[in-house]
Amino acid sequence: MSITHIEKTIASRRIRKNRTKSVLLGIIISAAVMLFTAISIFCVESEIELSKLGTSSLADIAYVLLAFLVVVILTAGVSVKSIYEVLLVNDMIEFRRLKLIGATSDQLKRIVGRERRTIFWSYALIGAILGVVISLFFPISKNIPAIILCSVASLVVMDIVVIGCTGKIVKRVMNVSISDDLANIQSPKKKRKSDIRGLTKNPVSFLGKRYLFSGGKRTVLTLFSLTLSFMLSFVIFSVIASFDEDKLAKSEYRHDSDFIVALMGNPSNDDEWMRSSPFTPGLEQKIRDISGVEDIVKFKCLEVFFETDKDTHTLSSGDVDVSASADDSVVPIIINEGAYWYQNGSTKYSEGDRIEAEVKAGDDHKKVTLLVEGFVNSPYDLNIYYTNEDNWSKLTSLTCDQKWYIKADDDISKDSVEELKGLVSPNEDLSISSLSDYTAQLKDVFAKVRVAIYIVCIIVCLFTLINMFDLTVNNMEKRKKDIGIYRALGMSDRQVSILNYIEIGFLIILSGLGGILIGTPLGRAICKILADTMRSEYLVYVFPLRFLIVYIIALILIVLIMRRYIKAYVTNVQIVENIYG
Amino acid sequence: MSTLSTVKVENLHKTYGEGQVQTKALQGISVSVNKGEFVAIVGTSGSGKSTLLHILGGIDSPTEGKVYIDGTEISDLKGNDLIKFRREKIGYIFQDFNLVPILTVKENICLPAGLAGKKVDKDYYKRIITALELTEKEDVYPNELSGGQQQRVAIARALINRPEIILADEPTGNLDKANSNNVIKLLKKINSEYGQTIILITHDQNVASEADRILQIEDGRLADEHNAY
Repeated sequence: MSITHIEKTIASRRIRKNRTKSVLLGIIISAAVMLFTAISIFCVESEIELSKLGTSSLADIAYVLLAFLVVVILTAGVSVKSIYEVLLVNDMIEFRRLKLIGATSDQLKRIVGRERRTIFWSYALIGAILGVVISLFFPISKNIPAIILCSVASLVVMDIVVIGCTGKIVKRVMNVSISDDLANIQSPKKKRKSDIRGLTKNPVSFLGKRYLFSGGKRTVLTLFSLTLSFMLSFVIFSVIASFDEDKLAKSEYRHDSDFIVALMGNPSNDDEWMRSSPFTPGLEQKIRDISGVEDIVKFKCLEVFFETDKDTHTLSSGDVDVSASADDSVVPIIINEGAYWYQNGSTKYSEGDRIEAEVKAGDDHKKVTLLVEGFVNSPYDLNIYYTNEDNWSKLTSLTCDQKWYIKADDDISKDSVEELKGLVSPNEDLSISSLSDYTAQLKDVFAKVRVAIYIVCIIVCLFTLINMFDLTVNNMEKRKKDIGIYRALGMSDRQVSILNYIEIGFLIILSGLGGILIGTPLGRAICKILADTMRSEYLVYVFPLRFLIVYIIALILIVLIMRRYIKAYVTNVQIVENIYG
Repeated sequence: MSTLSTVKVENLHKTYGEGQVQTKALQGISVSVNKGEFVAIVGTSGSGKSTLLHILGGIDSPTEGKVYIDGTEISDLKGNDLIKFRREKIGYIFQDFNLVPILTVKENICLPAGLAGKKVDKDYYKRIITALELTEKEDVYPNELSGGQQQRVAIARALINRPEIILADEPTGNLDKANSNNVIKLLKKINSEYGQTIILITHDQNVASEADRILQIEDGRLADEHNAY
């Protein structure tokens, strides 16, 4: 049966009556859908990109974000459940009255369903739109079908999550009986021996602990969501804090260089560059003459095809010790066995192995035999095959440097830097970059990424903090009568406040400790895995102290708000109101 | 003020709400109760008897008038002073028992002692639970008890700090006749054995007739005052 006009009216009046809670619920739904949409779009688009590019770097981030998504769903689910529970439980008498005047269980279900749908869709759509807007800023190719699909999927998934989280309480509303005792009695299920010593020693802490352990599923769920969101944010911040931008920049600027002059493309594909290289002896001399320039290290590389496999390899000239070729028939090479792609490749070589290969340099294709002379182990170097620069003439008749690494004094003057840039910039085939500019750019990019991640983490933490605050409010409502009894029996206002802090305090401390205890080794492990996978020495685990401080400040703020709420409650609510409602 | 009076109320007014929705629950009640007296307050529903009891017990405040308990004007007491005064001097028994569901019978009884920072007098505790026939139920939660048993626990809780005054808000309202009789007998026994002043609210004339004196309240005013027969 479709919903009637009166059912619609009751549902909309209920939303208006519980406006604050409805808005809170809506904000959580909106934020969760927004994160879900944005993250899922990123994951799907990165998967599409991955299949095109054959790189795993985006997929790694996508997996981390997927884990984040699970936490978003969980924390949002717990928050929605708890707020919705208060929303409906507090009005149970109203539902009983409706039944008393003839409303059926189905009608109650339709009213509650309408209420839930109205709140969900008005906020979830905003969340989905915001998620799409955020996804437009991702540094990834846009895919319209993926965006539409992910937006729809996130709306459907969050709707299912909300229905799932609220199903039990909706059933309770449907099954409310006219004769029900609606007192919210929370009796422990397990038998226990009376503990008078504990009660008389510190009655407030005794009662706080008793409430905590009688909270059952709700307490476990809140603790779980708090620990999970804290731990995940903690780990993500560990990883983000662990990137050393200076080292990352330095890893590009090899041979301890401060400037890189590079070709604007691959010389192997351009005959013009091979025949007439922009890296002229004249340019080299002019650079060397600049005051403060110490040295220039030249870097060459060629595309090489091995007869044993179909992959393209790169043969580089570098600062590894390779002997000069004795005759034209073979070219000695050194293999970097620590390089990621060598370790993960299918072919392994031994000293003395001969590799039949074809060198490609523009239109010049030449067959050569490479002789494995030895191995080095540089895990942070992605290049695998090295030869002596003197052997270059044996590999190709065409040759061109690809990069010049320029090392300068630490106190090179601004004028010298400008002179260097002035020498290179007019040449359209060359580009010049400096370590200091690159480091500044990287820091800027990382700062932006960090801010974006901080915002996501703050939203996730916000869910749990809202949940925590809601738990306090819910507890105060649920234990209204108990609090009245305690106050009537002589509990001071301060003791009432402390009683309400105990449960929250326990949850905060336990989730914080759990998050740090699990998050620290997990963060270390993830950093190590990432460092090993990316062959990066710039990724070293750092304890996320700044995040911890921000989180603690957020907690203090929440506790202060709760304190105000509890104080206002105790001051403004008379004991009789507590007891008799 | 009579030195014999444990409770004295002077021109007590209590108004709920403001303007058009104003409700006058008490309209100038003056009454005194002597030490060791057992007084029943009767009246129709909404007559103001519960409001009077709440104000006597310091869990609600009057709009006007004065309440003296043992010579102390309780409206002068604020914050912790009022709380301490209340837990030393007054024991409450509520109509719907108001036991704490997460505490066992024994813990419920000893809760006021714990909140007052007192050690429980084990002999006294034993005497109470024996008299109230709760010895077998000490480690049981309230939801496992019958209404009569729950009310007996509430009575034991009201007695544990040996207050001078016991305020009982319709203690038999939720009980059957047999349990009602038992509760009243117990209250009378407490009154005679320990000399505690008992002020009880009831609808039931039979219950009221067990008191030393009956105060009739109508529309927030003391309509009649007479000794029970």
